[in-house]
Amino acid sequence: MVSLGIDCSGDWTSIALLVDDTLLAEGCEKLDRDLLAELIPLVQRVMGKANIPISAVDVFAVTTGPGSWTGIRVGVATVKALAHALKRSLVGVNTLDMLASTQPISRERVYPVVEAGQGTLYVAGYSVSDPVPLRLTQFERIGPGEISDHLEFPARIVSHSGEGFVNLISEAVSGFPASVVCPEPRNLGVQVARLGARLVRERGSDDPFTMAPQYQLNGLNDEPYVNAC
Amino acid sequence: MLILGIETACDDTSAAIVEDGHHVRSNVIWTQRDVHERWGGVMPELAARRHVEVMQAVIEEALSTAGVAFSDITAVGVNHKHGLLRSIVVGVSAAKAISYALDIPLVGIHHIEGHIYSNLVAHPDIDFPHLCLTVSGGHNLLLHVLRHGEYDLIGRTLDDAAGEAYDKVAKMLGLGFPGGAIIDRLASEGDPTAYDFPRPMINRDDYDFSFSGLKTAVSVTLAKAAKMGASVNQADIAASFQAAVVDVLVAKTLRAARDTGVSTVTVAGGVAANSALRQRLAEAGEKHGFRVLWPTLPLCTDNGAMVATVAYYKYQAGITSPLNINAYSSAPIGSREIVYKPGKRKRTN
Repeated sequence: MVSLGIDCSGDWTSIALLVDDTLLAEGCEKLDRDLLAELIPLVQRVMGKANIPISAVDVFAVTTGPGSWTGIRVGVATVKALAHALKRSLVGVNTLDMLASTQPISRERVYPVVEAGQGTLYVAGYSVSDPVPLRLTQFERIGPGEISDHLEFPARIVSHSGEGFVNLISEAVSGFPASVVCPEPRNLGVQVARLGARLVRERGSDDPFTMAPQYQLNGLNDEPYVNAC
Repeated sequence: MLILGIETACDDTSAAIVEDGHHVRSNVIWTQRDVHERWGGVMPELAARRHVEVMQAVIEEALSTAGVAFSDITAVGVNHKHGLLRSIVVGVSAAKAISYALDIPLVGIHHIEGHIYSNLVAHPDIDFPHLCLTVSGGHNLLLHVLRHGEYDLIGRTLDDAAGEAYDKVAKMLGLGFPGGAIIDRLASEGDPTAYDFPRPMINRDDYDFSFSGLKTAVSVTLAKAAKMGASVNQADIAASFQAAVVDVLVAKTLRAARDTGVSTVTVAGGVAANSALRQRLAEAGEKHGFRVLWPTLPLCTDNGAMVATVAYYKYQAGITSPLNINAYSSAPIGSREIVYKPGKRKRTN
């Protein structure tokens, strides 16, 4: 199964092309305001590196949020149109699931965090003691100062936000047995492609006519906890 | 030749299939009225959210109504200049992805070009040069259309667009949103001479407009009446306001038609649906000897068919766009810069 993963939820735009679990090609750039202009050209370069046409992709996977509103909107709009025009599967991947899956197997609890605006953040706790990360807690929106109350130690916090935000979190957990890690931006697209392929195998394609970004996590907690990947 | 046209400038999500620039095979417009009604205006973030939700469903509907498949399409046209930035971004994302996926040309167009060409859909034989008055909630322009793809912007609003004034006055009267159709309907029951509202800049020797003062005059009239405990006849306010707007639009258009010596005047944009404007311009055309054209109602509002039509003529002229085009909230057209006024923004989150 050929899967293309696209993550535009953070500062970096990360794209990866996988055949089953083998990485064929990737592309990773800090596009900022050029995201709309440069996303398709970046996809083109990734396909060019692998030397296969876009029509060879079976699954288009994209981060649906939370994260940068415009980022996830461009990513989702692009992937929906690609999948629709080529009649292929598409799947949305939650940003926190993506971040959790970047972490190696460990007994530590893993806590992805994503900026949620107005000085708040989203956080959820995951177990990564198996190859399949498992979300254990509700998604919560909290202030950075409250984060230590929400962790079970030893804890590993995962963020793909900017340096300022990461420093804020690091300060909030200083003195606790917790670390803050920032995954390699190039790894994000890989995880989206991996998770996406897995989700499509498990539950089939999402619907290109109704799929939408997840700007906030409100309401997601109504769904039962599921395996992240 | 089939062109897919995509338009997401403001609060309507639209996709259309147009054959050879004039045969509209489908023109699907997903109106977001329900989303913005309770705010009394368009909320940019909410508009963008709805666009991304429904874009592909709208494209699918355009294809199936036209009875065609993606593989039948020759090129995809999209507005990437002029509108609410967050909204245009969605249409451009979709258009670029479709162009890339199907390996067909992308043609980026200017929103105002779309409105100019809305009259070429039904009248591909139109005379050049002609004059185009295009007025909506977001723009208010007079263009001298010299030939395909060449426009001279000769007049524009210095503050509010007429359509924006319609929306604001409807809001003041508590009539809902969007205001154009509501006021037009109400005006037919009122006395256009009941209130003597100003005709801003009507005697100024140029083709520019200003509607902010007129809007304020209505507001002051209503406030005075309220203070004195007097009741106002809403229909009279609507009729008098509309008479002022139409007087100015017609006077400036007439002046421009006379000075440019054109044989044809076209009206486009949402306000082109206004019955009083249509009637007055038709009378003026008859009297002064020029042809007046306006589009059918679905082509007045923002729509994909006008975009596909512009894209058809550009493609025929060998003009296509690279896949790295960006989106712009305003971009120059013709000789002068257009200023787009998206209205007051409010926090949506």
